[in-house]
Amino acid sequence: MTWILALLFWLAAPQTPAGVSGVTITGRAGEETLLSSVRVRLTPEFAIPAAPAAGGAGPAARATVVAYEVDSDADGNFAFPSIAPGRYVISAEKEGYFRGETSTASAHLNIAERQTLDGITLKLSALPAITGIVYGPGGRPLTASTVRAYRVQFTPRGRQLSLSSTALTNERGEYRLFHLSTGSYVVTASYGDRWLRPWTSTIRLSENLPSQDDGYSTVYYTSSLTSAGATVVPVVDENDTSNINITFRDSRYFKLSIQLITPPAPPPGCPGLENVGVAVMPRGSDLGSALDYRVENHQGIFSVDRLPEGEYIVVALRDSVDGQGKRSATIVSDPQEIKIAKDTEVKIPVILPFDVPGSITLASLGARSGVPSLALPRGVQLQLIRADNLMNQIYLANVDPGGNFYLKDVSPGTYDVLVHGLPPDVFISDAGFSTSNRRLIQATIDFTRPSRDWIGTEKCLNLTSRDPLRVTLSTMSVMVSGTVSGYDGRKAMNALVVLAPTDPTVPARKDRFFTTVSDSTGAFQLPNVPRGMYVAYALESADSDIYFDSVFNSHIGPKGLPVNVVASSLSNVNLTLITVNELKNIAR
Amino acid sequence: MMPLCLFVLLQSAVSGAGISGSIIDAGSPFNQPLDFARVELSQDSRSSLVVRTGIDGKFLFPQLVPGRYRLSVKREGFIRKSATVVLAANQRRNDLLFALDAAPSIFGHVRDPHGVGMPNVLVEAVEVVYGPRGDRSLATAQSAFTDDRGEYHLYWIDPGEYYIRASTLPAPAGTTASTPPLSFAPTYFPGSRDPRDAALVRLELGFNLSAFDFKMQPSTPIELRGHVSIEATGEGVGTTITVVPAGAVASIQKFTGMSVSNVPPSLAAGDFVMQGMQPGTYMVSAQYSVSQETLTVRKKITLGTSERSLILQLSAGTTVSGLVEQSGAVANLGSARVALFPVDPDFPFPQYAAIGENGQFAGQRVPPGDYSIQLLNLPDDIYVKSARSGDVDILSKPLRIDWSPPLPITVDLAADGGRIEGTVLDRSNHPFSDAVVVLAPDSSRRNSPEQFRVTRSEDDGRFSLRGIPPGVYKLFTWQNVKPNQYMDPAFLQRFELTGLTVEVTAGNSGTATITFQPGN
Repeated sequence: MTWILALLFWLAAPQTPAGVSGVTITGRAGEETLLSSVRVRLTPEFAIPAAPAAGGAGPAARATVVAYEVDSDADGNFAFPSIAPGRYVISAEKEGYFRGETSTASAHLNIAERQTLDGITLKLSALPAITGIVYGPGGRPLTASTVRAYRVQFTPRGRQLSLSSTALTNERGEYRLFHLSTGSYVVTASYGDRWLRPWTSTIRLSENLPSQDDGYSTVYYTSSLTSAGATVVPVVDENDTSNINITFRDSRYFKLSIQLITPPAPPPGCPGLENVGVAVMPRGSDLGSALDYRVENHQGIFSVDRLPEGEYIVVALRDSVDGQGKRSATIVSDPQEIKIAKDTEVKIPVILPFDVPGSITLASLGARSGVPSLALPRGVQLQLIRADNLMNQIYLANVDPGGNFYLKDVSPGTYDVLVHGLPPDVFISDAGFSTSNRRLIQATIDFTRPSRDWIGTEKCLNLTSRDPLRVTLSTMSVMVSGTVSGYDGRKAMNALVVLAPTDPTVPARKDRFFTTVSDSTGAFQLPNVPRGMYVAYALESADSDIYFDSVFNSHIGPKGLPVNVVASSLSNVNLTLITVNELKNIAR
Repeated sequence: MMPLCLFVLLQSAVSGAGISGSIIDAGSPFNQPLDFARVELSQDSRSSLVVRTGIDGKFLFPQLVPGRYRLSVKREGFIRKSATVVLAANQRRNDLLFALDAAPSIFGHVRDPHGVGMPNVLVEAVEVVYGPRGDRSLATAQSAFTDDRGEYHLYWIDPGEYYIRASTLPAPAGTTASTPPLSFAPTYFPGSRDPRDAALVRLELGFNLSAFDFKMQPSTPIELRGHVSIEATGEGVGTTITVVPAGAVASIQKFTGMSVSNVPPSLAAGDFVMQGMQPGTYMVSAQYSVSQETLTVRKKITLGTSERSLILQLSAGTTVSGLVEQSGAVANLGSARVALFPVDPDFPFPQYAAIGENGQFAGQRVPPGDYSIQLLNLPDDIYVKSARSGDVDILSKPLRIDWSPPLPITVDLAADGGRIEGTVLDRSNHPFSDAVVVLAPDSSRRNSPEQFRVTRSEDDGRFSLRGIPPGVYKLFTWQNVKPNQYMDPAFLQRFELTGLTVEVTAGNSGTATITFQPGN
């Protein structure tokens, strides 16, 4: 994760202490300008990096080679005045500028004792943009239309769209979605007062801009009303992708009515069902801005009279204001995806957030000898990450040495369970509530089961799960090793080696995929792989998250090697490199 | 075709009254009709009707109930217009013509000292705004962010004079860097830190200004130190301090800090230090809750180039009470309210108090500050004759409130207000619709906002003012004037010679015809 593109020249002056200096620049060839505030990093090539030393001043007393970093100044100058001799990779990064995805884009420096390398020029290219014009149904350019770019991401649960950039069209209908990394994007345009509301909390638009009223149905480039019909826009290099023009269609409008199904009221005096409302948001918008999409409450009925046809998310919210006057909203229902193509009524069960106690234990069967009970290191944390792609929601709780944790105010939803701070050979084998499918390693907090209770605390009453969340750890892992070769039989270095689970009982989680990069002899090692069935393969380009995609993995076919990880170690996993061109064919 | 957006209808099946008209481009030689113009018809306390014009530029609202309507017209690329229309039973107004003027825009780039475009810089058109007594301040009229090339578009701005300001957003809290990142002070075009040294950019109808480019210069951030305590007890407390640029309309540019609640060696309880601030004028606020009561403080500060220490005293505000007395015939003050408007336009929240049956009123939790007292929704012909706090006149001077209640307020109302009816004409003696008509007292009474009256002309150019305190006045009219701008003596002085002198005697009506003055 890093990068620079050019190392132009340097001068050696061997009679002074070892040091490196230079400038950071940007711009097209022939139009280069100095670039300020670039983070420049020297990473030793043959040593495990220690903590970066500030200001380029490495700790002189230590014999080990450390990483150094410094920011270039207002004139783009950077200097590491005193560094330990050795081989380094020099790299540079700045927000809005290109980050290469492989180490081949970086430059290698070999610095002898008392040697100074001056005049190093590091050139950064600005990240590209997707640009275009948005038109109304009559073909006239539309001002203040909201345009979004979603990056297509591959996950074990399928392709997901993740919001990368949002822009408003200008007075000529033009937009620029900028600072995009390379990848595949879905571009949408929305129009209507409802979608304009989040902007008005950051900028003040022209008073002469007409109200957009109910607007139009959101269009997925080129002209689809559903995400499934979107045409993917590839961003391949630092050049902008232009002419991604979108035209709205005359839209159909429907009425959406929402009924809240409320749970039994909490005891008096406790935060409960007051200030509970509804937000109707376009699918793919950030649920963090849900307050901007609130629907008016007319005597207990939430409705939108004229909603353009399309895909939406409906969620119940509870407003709260803290002692310092900060307004916030808590999600108090499962976010529901709805497709509006006729007048629609939905019922949303309101589920108040509540506390989840739980514990972590070590799997008893076949435990390593000499490990009689779980002794967790300090600083272990349990994390719940929302598993659906509707919003980012994360809860974190400290785990005490006995393995117990307590999560506060968890909103309904399905979450991945993660444990941070474990030794590398320990992984989660099992997690969940006693009544749910624990093999999924997911906590589905739907709370429709009668497994919660009002528990008294000092001040008020809290809702608490009666069914604790149980997490089981395992240490039964295997070392997998082998080599990568090309078709010509030569060993392939810098190949991305992937071990993807194929066992249907293994949970679809990113942490059950194992990757590494082959070394200069083509060899690789993957320690700590849990037992099970996998497919192993090696990709020429490491610039990809496509290996998470189950469709891709099923198309790997004979180019992949089925691997059954059972013994305590598995060697001689010898793979044939899948080239970039082959990869493109499989991905299609 | 754009669908017509019809909301809850004002229509009545039995009435034959209606409004229709057309929208044209004022700058075109042959009255080019404007399509897709959005015409909104509204009436007090009812939902509005909205139509869009077709390619012939025409609009129609049929079958309306008689009454007073407001028509607002907006079209992409043009300055909005509105008019007041009074419809009698079965009256059809088919002659409404809105000639819209092309709106000006301003474009440019924000670049760093080496010419690299700076993305995500907030660029604002900043205008002078006025408080209820004519005090001036600056506020954002329109804003936009630069794109990755540093380019910004501030489009369709109302004509007028603006400062153009570029500001980088504060770095998110918790970002670390081995050396402090470069920071840039808010810069007024073409390149000054202080609006007094900046260019006042004049935007005129139909003219776009481009290449309004900024070259930002790095500046050293300054530190804001201070102490937050409860005014009543002097106790220092830990709470969040929020600092936003004065006149900001959106919360995007916000600095926050925490005062300490317990006592580390170098700081006392209630002390705070905020780093990374830049020179400028800011509103500082804090809140603190103690036993179900919310204490607040709000202060305006100007940061120079050196660090600054600030004392913030939290209070629940005080009670401002008094009596409204009527001489002569006693009118029902049912919906009238006493309002206290902060004199400084950067303090946005007015305080209101209802008037009881016996004339008593009490405003609760009024924060310290200088206020202008005004009575809202007074019945016709009734005006404020005097207002005092104890013996101090609070019409010609602001009411100063600190942490304890001011002396009781006495407001004397009189029912013998005069009336003026008139017509605004343009230079060719045609009725001028929607002009702002201001009745200003002669210069000896201009320090009292209660002596001023403001209205707008209707679509036949007519206007009417009631409840005027007897005296000598000057009548002014403008096509557009900012709220309270006429309270600024310097502004009014520029137009002194164009004012029409009128004398209003108690309980009498007068008529006046005033010609619209172009040039504003």
